[in-house]
Amino acid sequence: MSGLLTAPFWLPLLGAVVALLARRHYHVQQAISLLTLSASVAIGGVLVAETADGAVHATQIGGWPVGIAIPFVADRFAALLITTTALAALLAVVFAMLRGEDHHVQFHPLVGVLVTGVFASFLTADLFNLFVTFEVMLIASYVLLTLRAGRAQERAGAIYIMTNLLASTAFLLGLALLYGRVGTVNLGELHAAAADPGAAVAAGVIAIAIGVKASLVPLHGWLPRAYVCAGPAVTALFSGLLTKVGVYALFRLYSVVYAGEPRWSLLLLVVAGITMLVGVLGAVGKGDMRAILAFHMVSQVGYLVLPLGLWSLAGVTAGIVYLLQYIAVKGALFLAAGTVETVTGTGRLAELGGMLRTRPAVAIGFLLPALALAGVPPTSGFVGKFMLIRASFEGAHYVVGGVAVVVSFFTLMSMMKIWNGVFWGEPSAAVSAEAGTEGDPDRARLPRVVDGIPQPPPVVFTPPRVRALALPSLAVGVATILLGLGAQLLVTLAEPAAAGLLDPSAYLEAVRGR
Amino acid sequence: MTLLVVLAAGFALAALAPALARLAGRDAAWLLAAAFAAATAALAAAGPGVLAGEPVSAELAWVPAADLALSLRMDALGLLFALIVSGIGTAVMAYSARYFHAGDPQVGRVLGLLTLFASAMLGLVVADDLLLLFVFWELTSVSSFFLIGGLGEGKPGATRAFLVTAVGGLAMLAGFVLLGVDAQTFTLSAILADAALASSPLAPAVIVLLLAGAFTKSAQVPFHFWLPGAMVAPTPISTYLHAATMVKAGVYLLFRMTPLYGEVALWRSSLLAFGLATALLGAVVALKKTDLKALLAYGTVSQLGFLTALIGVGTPLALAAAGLHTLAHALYKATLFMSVGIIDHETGTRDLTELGGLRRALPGVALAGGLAALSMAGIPPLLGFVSKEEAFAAFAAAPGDPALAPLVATLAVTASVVTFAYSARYYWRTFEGPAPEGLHVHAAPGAFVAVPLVTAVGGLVVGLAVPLLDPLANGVALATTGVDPGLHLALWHGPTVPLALSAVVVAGGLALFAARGRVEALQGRVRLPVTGDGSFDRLYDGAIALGKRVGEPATSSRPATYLLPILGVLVALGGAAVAWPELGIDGSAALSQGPDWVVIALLAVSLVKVAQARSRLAAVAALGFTGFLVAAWFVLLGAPDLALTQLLVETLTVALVVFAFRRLPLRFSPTPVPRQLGAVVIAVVVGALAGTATFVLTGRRGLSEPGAWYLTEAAGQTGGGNIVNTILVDFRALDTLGEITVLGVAVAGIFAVLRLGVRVEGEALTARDVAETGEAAASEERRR
Repeated sequence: MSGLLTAPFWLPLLGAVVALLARRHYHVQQAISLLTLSASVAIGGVLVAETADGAVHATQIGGWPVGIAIPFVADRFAALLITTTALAALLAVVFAMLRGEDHHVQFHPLVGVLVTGVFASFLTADLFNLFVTFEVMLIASYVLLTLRAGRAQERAGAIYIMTNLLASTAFLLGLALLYGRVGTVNLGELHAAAADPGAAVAAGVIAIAIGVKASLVPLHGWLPRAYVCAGPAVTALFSGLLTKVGVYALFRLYSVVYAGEPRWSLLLLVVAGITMLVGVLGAVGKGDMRAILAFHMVSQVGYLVLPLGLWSLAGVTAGIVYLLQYIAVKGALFLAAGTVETVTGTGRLAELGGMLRTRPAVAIGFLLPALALAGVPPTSGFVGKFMLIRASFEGAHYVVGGVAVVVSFFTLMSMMKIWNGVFWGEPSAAVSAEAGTEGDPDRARLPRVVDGIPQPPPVVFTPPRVRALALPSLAVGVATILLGLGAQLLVTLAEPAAAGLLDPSAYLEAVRGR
Repeated sequence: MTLLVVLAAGFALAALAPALARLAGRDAAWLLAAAFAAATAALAAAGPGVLAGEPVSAELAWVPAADLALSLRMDALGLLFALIVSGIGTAVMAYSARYFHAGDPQVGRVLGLLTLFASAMLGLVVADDLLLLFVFWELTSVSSFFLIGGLGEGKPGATRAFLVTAVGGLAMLAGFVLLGVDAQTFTLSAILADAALASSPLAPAVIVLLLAGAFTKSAQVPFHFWLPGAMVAPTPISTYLHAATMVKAGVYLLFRMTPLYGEVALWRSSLLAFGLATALLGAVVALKKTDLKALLAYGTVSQLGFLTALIGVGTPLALAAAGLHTLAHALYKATLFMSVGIIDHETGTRDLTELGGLRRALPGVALAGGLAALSMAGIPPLLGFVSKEEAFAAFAAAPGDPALAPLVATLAVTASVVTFAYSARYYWRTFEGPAPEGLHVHAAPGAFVAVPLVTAVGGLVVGLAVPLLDPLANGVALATTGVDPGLHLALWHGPTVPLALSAVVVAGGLALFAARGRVEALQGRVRLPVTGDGSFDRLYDGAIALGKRVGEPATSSRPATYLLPILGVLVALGGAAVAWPELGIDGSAALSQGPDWVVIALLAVSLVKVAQARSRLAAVAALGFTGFLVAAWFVLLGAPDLALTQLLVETLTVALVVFAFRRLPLRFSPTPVPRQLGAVVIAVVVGALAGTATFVLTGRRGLSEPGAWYLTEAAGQTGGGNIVNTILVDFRALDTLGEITVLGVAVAGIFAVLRLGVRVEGEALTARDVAETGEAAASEERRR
């Protein structure tokens, strides 16, 4: 079991190293990414199975005594997130391969490092180690963001790294204060530590730092600013992974350190509500596919942290169900937007139109996840949203439940804005012009041989290639409907995870090695 | 079982319809019509049992963990609506087979969506679960959106229709969830049986939310505007969705919730007020429209209002009459729309000013349209007459305030007078009178005309044999009010109040029709100051403008825009903590020694120097000095290796920064004073809070458990004498591995950025970049 627990850390990291060594062999790099990510999905699946009945598995890294070693722990929540994020990363990487976005020697190694940081963040039960895994994730994402050189990318990259470094500094400060007060950063020893006001403040600093990574309003501005400047596949990759790690860490922190202290409930609900509203309004105001979607990420984070304020079994289960399906849905939407950008060269609504006529597969590939995002039945998004609203009302939190409903409407409105602008109507000049077989302009400028390394041939977007590009989002779209109809599966998977968060005793015992 | 099979078959057919259309072209619609007819027969076969008081039900698990179930139940009300859905569906499908041109590429899509819609609509009226009802409700909205919008040609109409119904739909969802939470079940029949829910404190909120759903879906004022806007859709769609069935979903919801809220004052008054206002406004606008589809659409709006008000009366008689009128309206309005579709098809126009005298060229259509118009106007012996008579009877006997009955009856009669007038206007100006010059009329295929004829004659036959409908009308009343009114429907009840009111309608309508020239002139002068479309568009644009403003901060390229909120939130936390009594801040210094204060004072001085520095080098030097001071502090605290590390890091950093500054101007660019002041305030506040936090929270406890362990065990366990080293490479080697990875990636990233600068040509390299690179190369040369 302990080998399996650490595998999500060392496997992708090892893959990254090998991929870097194999930089002359593009296809080897691709194979490594596919293998490590598929293996991670499988490992995640095994962990999900192994965490049935609330079982929690832990290992003390290096075999040092409990309290000294860094513990890696898998409960149902962590296992589910590893599986889902690994799947999302796999989809994004396949998409990157299809559109030739991975034509950089560092792309695959960086993806490896990125997922290493992500998976380790899910598994670690040591707050300082969490800081380190966040850094691993941050640096890899920063380089991935700026791989596509350009003024806009550099500027966005600067904002991205400055914001995140400030957050990291706050994280470190919070850690120091927490350790200074309590004398440990091991989650196993920190249960209900925040009952002490000093520790509550120190952990609050950490929570704010994580809140930046999760992009809670008003700490959100960097995300819509930076994400849209990355390549489309990289945006999809980020959307599936980064903010989700932040949300995960907030859940863990609140479950363990704050022990679900109800006195913070109102504050959390207010933050969730404002995040939902600000995010969705920002999305409505944008005129570019990926910009709209990026603002939606902010809005959805509001839905994701809503359960923190509810902190009931129904609420947290709802939140996890919502989170699991949302990771896939948002990834698929970014892939659909990326496909549009790949074939037409633009994501601006004003320059697009009529793609339902020219590229029906792409249109449906956008439509299905878009309906899921808006919570239109019978998609999985509906089930998640319904459960959240219900849990809010059950807890007599009528206002925030109402906000969730209102935000659904604006989500629908912005999705229709994209649909109307990109897919309906007469084909625009940009859409008519794309005859279906053009080289990727990004790629065409690159020389064929760099530093003696032969570069892969430019991708040519033949009709079958475009259909293949639409396939990942189409597949997720169909999956959201199937998951909506078979949502029982999601709920039964999520419920033990929620129970484990509400009552973390099994988790704590596992961390303490008992 | 029947219900499940019919529904499943419907959804399966919807998926298959595009393939069928590819094989059989527009004739696939015949096949679908046959399937719809079979469904109608199957549902009708269950009818006698249902009317005898034994509802058909079925249940399938969906998400038991979230109390979502596929539970269906068809009582008399469900039967009435299910028969309308499947029956009119049969007609519309048969009609579609000739409405579309052979080889029309949209046939597959339209037929598939129509079948999907029909299945959803059927599910809606037999759902026995609030959420299932919502699921089907949304499905009808979604299919309506794509049916109206086509490939985008109906974009504005589709968007308005969808968004307006979506607002209501989501409000209704909130209402359903609230109701379900209140009732602790989502099963509709169980909720309706729980009378206590009507007096729950949540009831008013639930009522308002449900009414929002019903009124938007059924196009009540002020949400009515989307319905005429939806008329851009092909006629089969207008007939089916926007006349006969979907727009009645809201009315269905009102019927359905009557057992619970029928007695509640808020419910009744809302229904009466909105319903009658809609009935009048719709009828008056219909009277002036010259586009036949718009005329009929406003007529539909008016009739939906009439039904809403009738349900608001709330008596068993009113509910029975409303059920009957729903059926009558479905029959005549479907006929009228299909007739208009044929007229449009054969003449190329549907504008009253370009039409006339069509009775001679299209006698079949004129017969169908004429019969339907008679039914709409409420003339015996058509079904519309019977249902309107019963409605008048119900209005005239409205319970409650004694003034209510005369008032509502008067308003209902007024709406009916106008309805009579626009019915007459429709028939007269289309089929009678002289044909305008240049009007070319193609002969309509027999199969095309047959369909509206069947529905029109249906209205006549049912009107003549209306006693047959007794059990259905009484069943609807029983299902919605719990009381069987024992109604005996007949064309002739003797000289009664309703008959007198009908006479008023005919007389008034004829007068209005006779004076149509003056009426039209008057209406031409009246312009409403606000239009629904205009208000909707203003709200839509307003939302987008608001969104732009909300998203504005995230477009800035200044890092401060993004950093300030983080500092602000941290300061807020710090401020709240300082003011938090429970924290129990202890002013005494916990662990400190004299030299600490010296170091702190020196640090403060050097930080002031950093801030004051005008040249970059001076700033870097002063910043480096603070680092060295911290190193000195470490020495004072007895941590020489930490101090060494700090010194190395500080030296390297200063060296690197100086190296990087080589190409930058020597001095900082001048900053406006307010910004400087702002920065000072922020820096001082953040620094003071961080310092306070350190002061308060650290150094106030004994040795930590891991600390004690390291001191006693580390050397023995690892063989290393330096505890910091053993922590880094042994106990927490994973952290170190992580940080090494971070450094490695950072190096690789810098390498990539530098390489790319050289590698990529074109937009990535601006003229300035090239100049800078040239300069760098030149200075390189000079150095050599």
